[in-house]
Amino acid sequence: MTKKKTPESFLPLSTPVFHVLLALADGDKHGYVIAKEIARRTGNEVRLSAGTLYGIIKRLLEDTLIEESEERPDFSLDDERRRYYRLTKLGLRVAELEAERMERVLALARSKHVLGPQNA
Amino acid sequence: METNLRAASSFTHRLFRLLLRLFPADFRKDFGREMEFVFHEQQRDASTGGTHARFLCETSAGMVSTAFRQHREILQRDIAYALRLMRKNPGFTFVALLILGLGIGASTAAFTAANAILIQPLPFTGGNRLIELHQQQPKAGIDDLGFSVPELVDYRTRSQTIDSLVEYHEMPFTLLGGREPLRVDAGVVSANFFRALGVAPLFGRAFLDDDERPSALPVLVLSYQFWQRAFGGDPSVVGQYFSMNDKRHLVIGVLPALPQFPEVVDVYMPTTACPSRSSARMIGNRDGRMMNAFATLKPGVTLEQATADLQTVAHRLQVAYPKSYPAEKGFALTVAAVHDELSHDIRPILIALTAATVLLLILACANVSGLILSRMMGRSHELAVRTALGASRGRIVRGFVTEGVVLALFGGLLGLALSFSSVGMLQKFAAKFTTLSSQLHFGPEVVAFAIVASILCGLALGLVQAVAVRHSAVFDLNLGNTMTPGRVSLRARGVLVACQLALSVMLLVGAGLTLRSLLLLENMDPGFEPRNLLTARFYVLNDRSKAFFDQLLERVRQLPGVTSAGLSSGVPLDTRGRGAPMPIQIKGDVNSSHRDPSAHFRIATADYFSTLKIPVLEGRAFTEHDTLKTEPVAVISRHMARRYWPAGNAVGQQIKQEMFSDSWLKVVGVVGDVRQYSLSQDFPDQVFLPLLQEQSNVLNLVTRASDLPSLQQKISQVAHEVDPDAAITDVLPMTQIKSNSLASPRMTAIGLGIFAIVALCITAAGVSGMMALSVSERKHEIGVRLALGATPRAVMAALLGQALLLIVGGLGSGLLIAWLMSTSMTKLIFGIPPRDVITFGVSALLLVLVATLSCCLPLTRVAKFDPMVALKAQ
Repeated sequence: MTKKKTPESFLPLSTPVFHVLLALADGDKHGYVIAKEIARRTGNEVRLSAGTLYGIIKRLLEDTLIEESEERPDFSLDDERRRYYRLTKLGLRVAELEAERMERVLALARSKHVLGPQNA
Repeated sequence: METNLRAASSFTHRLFRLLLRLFPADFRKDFGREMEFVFHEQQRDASTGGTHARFLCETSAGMVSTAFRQHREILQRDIAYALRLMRKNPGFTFVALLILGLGIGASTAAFTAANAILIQPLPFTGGNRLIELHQQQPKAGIDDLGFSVPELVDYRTRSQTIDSLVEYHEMPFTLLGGREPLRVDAGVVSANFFRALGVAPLFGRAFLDDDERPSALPVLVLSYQFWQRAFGGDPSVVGQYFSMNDKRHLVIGVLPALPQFPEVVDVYMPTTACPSRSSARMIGNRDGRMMNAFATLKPGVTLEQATADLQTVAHRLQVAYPKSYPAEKGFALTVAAVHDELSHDIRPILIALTAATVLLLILACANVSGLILSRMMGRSHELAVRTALGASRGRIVRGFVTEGVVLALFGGLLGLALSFSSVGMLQKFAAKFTTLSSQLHFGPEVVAFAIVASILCGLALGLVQAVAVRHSAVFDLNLGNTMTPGRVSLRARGVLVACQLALSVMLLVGAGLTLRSLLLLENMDPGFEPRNLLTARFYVLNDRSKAFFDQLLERVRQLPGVTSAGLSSGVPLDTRGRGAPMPIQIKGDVNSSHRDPSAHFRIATADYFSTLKIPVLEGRAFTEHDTLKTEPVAVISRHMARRYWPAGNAVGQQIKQEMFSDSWLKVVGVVGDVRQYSLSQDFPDQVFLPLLQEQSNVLNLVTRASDLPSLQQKISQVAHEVDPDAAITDVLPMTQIKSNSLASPRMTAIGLGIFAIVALCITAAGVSGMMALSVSERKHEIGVRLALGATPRAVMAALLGQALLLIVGGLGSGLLIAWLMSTSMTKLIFGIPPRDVITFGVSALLLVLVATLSCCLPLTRVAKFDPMVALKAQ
């Protein structure tokens, strides 16, 4: 139905979407952990409520940037209501491209002395 | 403490579930449980971290905005899909848009008129607080007696519920000083008339209280229309002097282009400028009633309260001045909203046309629904695939509704264009009935109506599909049976076609009733011969009138082609001058069963009857010997003669009407009845008085001639040769006056007729489409029957028989509804009962004929069927 999208076509990512991809970069996680990690890493700057989080997850699933993970933790640690998500190859590539893009922006900011090397 | 926590937690839980319901069903199904889990975990964290309130706010906001985004995404996707479908089937799209455009356009046009005339408040600041007062003498049959100056003063000073009671009456004058003498209708009004209405002049000023002083300089305010017509919209006319009524009048202002009321006039003047109104005889005379009275309700006062208050005043007047309110004539005061009075004539027509357009719109929706259902057959595979891919039934139905709304909105766009182009025509149509027609324009409320109507149509289209597929296997890919949705669609289409037939027959009956009524009126014998007859109205100064009319008659008779000419104070079928009948006395009629006899009066010359070819049935017409020096005489109509002298002895009797003469008038002849005021009214009791015994400065010339167009050109030239100050109006062939008098029934019949024809065409297409679908759906079955030896003719007959059942069903229900509702047409029809069997019969027959013919076209395909091909196709 729709044409296959190139990784570049997803850029730029919005901050919450990028953070969700980053949260999944180091392993499969379920929704609550994703939100919690993002809040912790950003010092509560990016807080995703249930509605916002699953709006993003749905979109990422549709775009096949993430997928549902078949692997589940040990039965004693699991909860059947949880679903685990993991980054797809496309998702990883998109996250990489976004990071590179941001790096280029940072480099530009430094060259213009908007950002000093000490702030980096 | 713990109980409190639990209660709070249960509340937030319920709140979260409520917010979750904002999401699309599919989203809830996919993520609802997980979201709930995340919510609980986050809530626990927030409670321990002391940020619970902030958490709840953020969660609520996130839920609402994400839900909104989800719905928006679905809508965008559905709209894109609907547009793709429309592009993919240009034929379907064209037909559907055309039909919806017609339906929405017609109802939007009807709304435009109904909104401007019936719904919107009057365009004056006084607006809907304006009322009109009427004094009546019910026992004398007088429903609008008018008001005298003392009465106006009494109502003004004694009423508690009204502000600024103002008066109005109309007088024709000749305005001199322009390029040629102009006959103007003047509205003679109180100085605060325009202030009460809340109308400010376009140029110059309106009347001040000083303008109404007896010694004040006569001043005029021009109506916008007259200013445009007579002065080409030149603002410098303000400040110019004109001579009128032997006095110099100064033009002080021009009114804006607002609807005039109660009548359309050319100029306005204060009461003191009108010689008869300001005469001492008038000012002190309680019985000198010639004015209309208007007032504004005080804020917060209802029409009922004002009526009660004013009736109390009226009752006190009756007690105080018994002579002026004779008990034998009865007396009543009624109050009506000016808005109702202004829209009174057009209201039934507008309501009928609006109802017809609503029927047409429903019919259009039914028809397009049928088209969509046929198309759905081809979409069964696609729908099954979508179901297999996880789309829920609700999601698919939602798609149907969006497709319907998108289609209908495009139809609405077409409809808007259609109604926009009809505004000019609607204005012309409405102007025949009300001055409010000038308010008819294409405003934002019209656009809003078209949008709402389109959305409602779209919802209906989507819901019909949803209902049609509800019990079908359309969503089940495993069945793999493409026949199933077709069968469902066929059944649903049958119901829709029956609806169309029912609606069509209702419109046909409505159109038929008004058409038949119009034909009856067109062919009604008016009592005279209207062909080759020219009429013209002349106004001359009082002292010159006799000489003028004598010379005019003489000159006109000498014109080539003129066979005869006469004069009269009014021409037949002209509604002007139609007032209540005047009370008369009949000599010797002391104990007659006719209490309060009355009649309409006209002045006429001897040749008037022969010119109009009104037969003299008994006695004689007037002669040149009926003068002021001879006995006063009268000629009466056959209807009157029959009523008062059924034995046939009218000639020789004597009657009296005090306003015309103190002496008795001898009836010298009986003439044939004439439809004096309207073809739809009964013959009036008519008394004619000879011009030579009466006097009038306003008369109508009637001329019978072989060449009307050339006479029409010459008549004003001849009149101005006789008197350059004479004013001429209404130079019209009698056939046109007759035609004008039928404007209302003709417009109604044409309007309903157009709608009925459109409905018939749409329905014919619907029937034909359904039959074609039926034939193609049952190809296999037909193939089998043909292979087993059935003749094509027999198969066609069987299919036609089934279709006829449907036709008869739809027709029957439509006829039944029309039968039940037809009494609401009583006001619009004449001469036939609302349940006229002929109209019902012809409408039904016409519809059966059209529907059967529409069936036959697709049926002919059966004859060309090759059973083997049909069977192999399966």
